[in-house]
Amino acid sequence: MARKDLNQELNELICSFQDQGILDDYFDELKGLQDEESPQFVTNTITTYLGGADNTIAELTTNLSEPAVDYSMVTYLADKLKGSSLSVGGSRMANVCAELCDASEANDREACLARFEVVNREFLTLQESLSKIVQLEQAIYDDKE
Amino acid sequence: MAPAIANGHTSNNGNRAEGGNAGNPDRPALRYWRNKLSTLLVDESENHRILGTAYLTAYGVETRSVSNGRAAMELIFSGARFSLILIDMHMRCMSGAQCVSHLRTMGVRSPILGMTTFCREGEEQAFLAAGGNGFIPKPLSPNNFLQVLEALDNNQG
Repeated sequence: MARKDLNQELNELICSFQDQGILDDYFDELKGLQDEESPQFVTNTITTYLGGADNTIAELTTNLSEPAVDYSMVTYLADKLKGSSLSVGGSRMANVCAELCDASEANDREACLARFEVVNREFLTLQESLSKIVQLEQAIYDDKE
Repeated sequence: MAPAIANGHTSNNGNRAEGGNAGNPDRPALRYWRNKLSTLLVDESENHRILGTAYLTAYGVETRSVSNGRAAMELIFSGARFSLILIDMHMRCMSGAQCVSHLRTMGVRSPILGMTTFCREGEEQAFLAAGGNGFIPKPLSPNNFLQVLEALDNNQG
């Protein structure tokens, strides 16, 4: 597929995710940092985010399955996931992480588990969306090489 | 997982990337300053370090990043000096306030801002009481850091 078509497809995909609220305007700023000097900046940033988020979610799963939940750790992890999600324009993901933070600060186990379920669902959506962006970015990059 | 790369250079903990800083020093900056500005980013999040470094470098600020307070202290102890230090408020082993306190004890006089997505009650006061100068929202964006840099550049004369 011609590079122009791929770029157009990518732009339309990003707009679609922004219209759905999966990504916000910060993703445009992130994309603005990519240039010929750093042609895979977006791909690398997303890859870093997804790897880190996977680890954080695994830690949250472990913590929330303990008989005695360490709420300070849950709050820390949820806050960390919120911040990193914001860095890739994932404000909807960040919002559900904030709700998990609130539940953890209230030491409410049931609410934490319910919110964490939402976090997991939202992460799957964000992960799928970002992966599609990475696929197109890689196709554009490969087309240039 | 492949190592994170910002602007074509690996993000090394406290070190300039091989072959230049994170961000090509030969590429024209988006903004020029009267003074040479340098920033230290202290953040556990690799994403934030990559993005923050890329943004600040693009705007003409020599930037280094470390992942925790101890590494920041080691860097300062080795003699490194910065126009501005940005510290994540919520780090696991050493909080932003604790890090500020240590840096001030070590004699650091540069402005130090806390980076945060939100602050709990008392956290802001603790950070300021420890010697912090203010706050800046995360993630870093020209919308929030440009005015900080302008004030810094003007204050340096």
